[in-house]
Amino acid sequence: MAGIQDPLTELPPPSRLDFEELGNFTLDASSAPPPAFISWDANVEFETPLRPRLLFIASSPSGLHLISHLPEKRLLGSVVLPAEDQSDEGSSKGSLSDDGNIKGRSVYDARNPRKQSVHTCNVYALDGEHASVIMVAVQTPIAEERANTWARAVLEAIAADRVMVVTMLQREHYRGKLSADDEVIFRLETDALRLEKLGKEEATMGHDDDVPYFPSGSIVSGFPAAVLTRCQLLGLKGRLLLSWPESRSSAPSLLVTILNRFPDIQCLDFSSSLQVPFKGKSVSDLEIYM
Amino acid sequence: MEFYAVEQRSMKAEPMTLLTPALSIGNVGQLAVDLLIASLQTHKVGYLDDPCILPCIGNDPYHAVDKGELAVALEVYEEQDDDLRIVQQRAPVIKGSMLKFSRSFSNWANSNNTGEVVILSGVDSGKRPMRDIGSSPIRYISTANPDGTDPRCEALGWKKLEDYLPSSDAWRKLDAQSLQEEDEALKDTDLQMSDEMYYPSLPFASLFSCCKARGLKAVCILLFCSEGDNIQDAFFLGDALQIFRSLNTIGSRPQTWNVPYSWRSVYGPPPDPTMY
Repeated sequence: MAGIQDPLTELPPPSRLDFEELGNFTLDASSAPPPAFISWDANVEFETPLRPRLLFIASSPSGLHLISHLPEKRLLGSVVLPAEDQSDEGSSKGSLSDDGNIKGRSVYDARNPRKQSVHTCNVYALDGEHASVIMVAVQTPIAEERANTWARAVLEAIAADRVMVVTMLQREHYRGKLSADDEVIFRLETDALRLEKLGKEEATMGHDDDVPYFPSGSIVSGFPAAVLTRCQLLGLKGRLLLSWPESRSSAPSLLVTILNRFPDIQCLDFSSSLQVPFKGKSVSDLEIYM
Repeated sequence: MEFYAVEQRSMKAEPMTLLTPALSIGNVGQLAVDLLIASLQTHKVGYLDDPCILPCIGNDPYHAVDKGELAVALEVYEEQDDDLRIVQQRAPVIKGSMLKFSRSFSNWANSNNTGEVVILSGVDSGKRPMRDIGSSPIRYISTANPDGTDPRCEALGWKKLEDYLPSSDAWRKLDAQSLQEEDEALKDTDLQMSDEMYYPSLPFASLFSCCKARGLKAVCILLFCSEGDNIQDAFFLGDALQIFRSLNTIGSRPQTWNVPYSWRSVYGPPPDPTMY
């Protein structure tokens, strides 16, 4: 029996630590990466930082679908993440994970190796001149190492009363069971938002208690974590929604149903977006157990 | 590195013992710190923000009652009725940033009434001398003496880490870098990986050297372990810390541990019963 692997033995997840990367004598040979910034459209006449009621950031397929099909949105500009080291493409490769984050250095997009490595996300306003709702569409992955600078740039330029991030659950960090058949949305909130609800009358609290908190023991990394961390440190009201598996055409509809349970989000009207068909992302069972 | 206080809380002003994990094999230091936070009468006093740390968040790792309290990558706790301050680190540092992080951390510790830094870490049991098998798996290094020995640890029967040789090239290079505020000097150095380099290259070593360089008292409590189910290692290291702390107090410290709620799933979900 020696040498035959036991198929029933479940190996623990690999360590999150790569000791080649953590080594004290492993130096980052490049100079400090340039910070992220927002490039505003020339027609933008608002004073910056913007102070909307709500900042809505989406990277999940359903969230991006909702934003992209809003007819009344207005493009304000882009969040720009300059390339880390434009002279050395060979050292900037990363590996793309399914949650939309690049593991490894730089913003190199492994799917487009010949493309210039500058990452941009569009910034939109709703409500016309009032711009009381600002939306950011994160359509391509952001490298983990650049997530903090990205979040800092966004939250410094857009000082919203509330922040909402919608993203896909990162299954490599999820310690529970995931099914390709069961749709689920979890939430995480900053203390400022959680404690605000304690002071409100029951009638105005909404019905968010049936949106479960993300299970203890699982984690979120990348730009969603960077945004919510920054909100927590600064005492901002921030919320993160994590959806799974986004494989059904009903995923945007489920997201809207969940969003409507939060009184501070009910102002958003996604009815136009829901009329556009959504093609879900397929998840094979084999991938779930990897 | 910047500290953000939890609302209506502040750090204590008296001299504190600062406990921190070092990233290591088996994540043993971090598991032990989780155990201590869950078991001692601690409360969160704030957060640390450092550009070298990768972002990471999750739900409250300690309590079964789900109030949805957010946990982030670097958090600071204090024991309510004692002089222990605890930093928990839940995420790795950006590649190549370990020294930079260690400098920031030791500067912050030095500026915030730290009497002594205690660093918890695992070390690879594969590096353990064969002649030592059967003896205690605990090792230590300390700033108490130039050779790394500490009478407190010796009194507990612990051995100083044999490979801690402050006069060796690798440790001297690390000490030199710890004194700097930038990494430039090392860019010109051609360091070849060798056995001598192993311990000085580990995160606990840079934290220790940076604390030493800033005149902070520091001790590393190290546990030989392997990658795998390291929960028992966390208990062992936690016990070792409590024994060490009891040297400074009359009577022994309580050894009753509360297992963090998040440990139910630390190694993933149970196997699917339908496959049996």
